[in-house]
Amino acid sequence: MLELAIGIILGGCAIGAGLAMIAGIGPGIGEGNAVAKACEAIGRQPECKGDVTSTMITGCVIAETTGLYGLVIAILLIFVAPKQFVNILLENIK
Amino acid sequence: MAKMDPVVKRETEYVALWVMAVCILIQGVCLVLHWWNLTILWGSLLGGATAIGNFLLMCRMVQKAVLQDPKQAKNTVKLSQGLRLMMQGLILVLAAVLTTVFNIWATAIPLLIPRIAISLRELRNAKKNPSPDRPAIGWDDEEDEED
Repeated sequence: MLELAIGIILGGCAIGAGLAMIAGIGPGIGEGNAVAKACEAIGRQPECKGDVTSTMITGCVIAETTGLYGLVIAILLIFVAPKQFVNILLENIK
Repeated sequence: MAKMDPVVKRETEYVALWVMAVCILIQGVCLVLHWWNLTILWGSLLGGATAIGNFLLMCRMVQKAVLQDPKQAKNTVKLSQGLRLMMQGLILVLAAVLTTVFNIWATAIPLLIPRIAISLRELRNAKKNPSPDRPAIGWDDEEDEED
C-alpha cells in the first residue's frame, strides 16, 4: 500500500511537471510575432529604432518569464516536491 | 561580434543592479534567520549570473533580430528562446542535483527578478507620465452613437 502511495506521489509530480512545461511553448511563439512586427515598424520608421528596441526588450522579458515560471515549477516538482510529500506521508503513517 | 547598443547596455545595467540587490537581500535574510550557509551564497551567485547572462543574451538577440526581415526574425527569436530556456533548465537541474554545493531556492529566485525589475520600472514610469486623458464617453453617448 505504501509503495502504491509513493508511486501515486511520484506519478502526480511527473504529470504536474509535464503540464507546467506547456508554459514554455507560448512565449517563443509570442516573442517571435512581436519581434516580427517590430521589424516591420523599424522598416517603416527607421528613426524610432531605439524606442522600438527598448519596448521590445520590456515585452520579451515579460513574455519570457512566463515560460521560466513553468520551468522553475517543473524542476521543483521533479527534484524537491516528491521528497517533501513522501516525508509527509511517512510522518502521517507513523 | 556586433557592437552593443546603448539601449541594451542601459537595460542590462538596470537589471544587473536589481539582481545583485536581490542576491544581497537573500544573504541578509538568511543571515538574520540563521539559515545561511555556503550553499546559499553559491546558489545565489549561480542564479544571479544566469539571470544577468540570460537577459544580456536576450537583449543581443532582440538587437540582432530587429534588423532582419520579419520571417527570419521570428525564427531567430524562437530558436534563441528555446536555447535560453534549456540553458536555464540545465542550470536549475545542476542546482537541484548538487544539493551540497547549491541551494535550489537561492538559485531559482534571482532568475525571476528581471521581470519584477522591468514591471516596477514600467509602473513607476506610468505614475510619473500618465497617459493623456481620453475624451470621456458616457453610456448615453454610446447609445446615441448606436441610434
